[in-house]
Amino acid sequence: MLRCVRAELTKAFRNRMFVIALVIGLLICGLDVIQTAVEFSEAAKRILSLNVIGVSKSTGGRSLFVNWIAITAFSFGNMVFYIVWPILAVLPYGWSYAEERKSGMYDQIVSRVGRKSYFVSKYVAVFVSGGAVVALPVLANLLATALVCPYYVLDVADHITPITNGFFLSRLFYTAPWAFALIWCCVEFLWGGVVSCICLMLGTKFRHQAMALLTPFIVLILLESVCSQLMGSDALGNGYYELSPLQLAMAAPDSANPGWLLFSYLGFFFALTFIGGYREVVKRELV
Amino acid sequence: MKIDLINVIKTIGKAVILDDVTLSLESGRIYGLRGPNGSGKTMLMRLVAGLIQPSSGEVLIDGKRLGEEMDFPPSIGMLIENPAFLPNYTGLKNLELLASLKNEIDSGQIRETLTRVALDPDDKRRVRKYSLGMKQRLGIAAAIMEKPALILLDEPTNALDDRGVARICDILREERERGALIVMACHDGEFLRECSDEVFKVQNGRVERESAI
Repeated sequence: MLRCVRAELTKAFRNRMFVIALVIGLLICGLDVIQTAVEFSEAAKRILSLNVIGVSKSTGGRSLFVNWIAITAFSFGNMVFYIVWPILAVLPYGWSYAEERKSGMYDQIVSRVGRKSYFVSKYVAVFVSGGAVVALPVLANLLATALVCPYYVLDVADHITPITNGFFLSRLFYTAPWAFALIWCCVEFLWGGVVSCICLMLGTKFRHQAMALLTPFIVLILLESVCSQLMGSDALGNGYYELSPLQLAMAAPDSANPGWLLFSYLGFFFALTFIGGYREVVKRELV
Repeated sequence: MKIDLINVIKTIGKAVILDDVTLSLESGRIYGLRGPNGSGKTMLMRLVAGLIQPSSGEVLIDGKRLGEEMDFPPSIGMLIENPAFLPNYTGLKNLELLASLKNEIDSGQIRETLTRVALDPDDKRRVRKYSLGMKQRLGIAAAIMEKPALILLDEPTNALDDRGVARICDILREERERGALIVMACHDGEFLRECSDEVFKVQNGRVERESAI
């Protein structure tokens, strides 16, 4: 099994689509850093022109933990990345099962390792590659933004971010924001992983590559639309929970994202894709 | 190795693909399957490979029921339909990746197998640059490199020139001498008669012995 996992990971990471998806993600997150740098520079000039001495509370708005792509709601990078990430996640390896079935590579592998090992290895590789192309740009953005913005620890009373009581690890965000940010990168990894595995599962059913690649994105956009209708527009701080998976992939969505909600979604997608894929790949005869 | 197909029927939907097939195959022999397109040759090979299950009847490998007591024959190499490889890897890298799944052979043996099928192990070209004939030879190399007890080859002479066909025939004989059980399906009746110990005619899902040596 481990040998098969290693081979699948090699195939997943040493392929052109992985590089393309990662470059697109890094490009979006890089542009976001440039925007932050320009804005920060202009703000600094304004403050200097006012001859302000010392650091006022209002500079909290320039903190790394406000301008990081996973939290800021007003940047180009945030808007683009948190719409396209479901496409980036499926690009590297989501379609590989269907491709290998079609080409005959599947026969070569299962006859050597068996269907169960093949499926588990494929699932791991799809999950990890999908998670990596989502989490790595977000992590890179965090580190690059740290070169531009000071990392002030925020005060909850500032109300600069929507993160407040009821949000995932909100206490950690205001006490140890670096730890929060790194944990959030892991959550992004999980989101990328489960969404790419939706594509893996669909690849057992769909004959057209584009359909399998785009369906997770379309479903998430539809869910976003339905959820925003359900929740209304003024949900901040009113006890509503964020229901849209697209929003839940952000560290600071409009409404609360408690851990139980976040991990219920991730658990649901994981169970759906693993059990659904397992039934199709291992149990169902493929003629 | 001994393979027994006992009253095997395979249906897909309402179509009967294999109709009451009973066969016995033994190690150290080359079996040829001849028949028109859609006659059931490939399905028969997929069934022996364990890739599909019979609708009724049974396939026994050394007395053990395939699909119940084992998922796949324990030592198998195959080239069924088209040779499939990662297009952005070299031939050697492709075989190394496949071989790493079982870890039974080393890089030296892989290189030796490539040489046997007249491919250069040091060829730096990626597989997508290979000609059809080169891909076919690489597919045959993948099927034989681990010295499997059972070798299944579907149209092994596809895209090969006369020298390539002769070489494949020699390789099959060598594998037979080693003790492998070889089943191949081919349109080329002359090649089948020359290389096989026994030829079966497959037509409308029925299998009949055509000739034996």
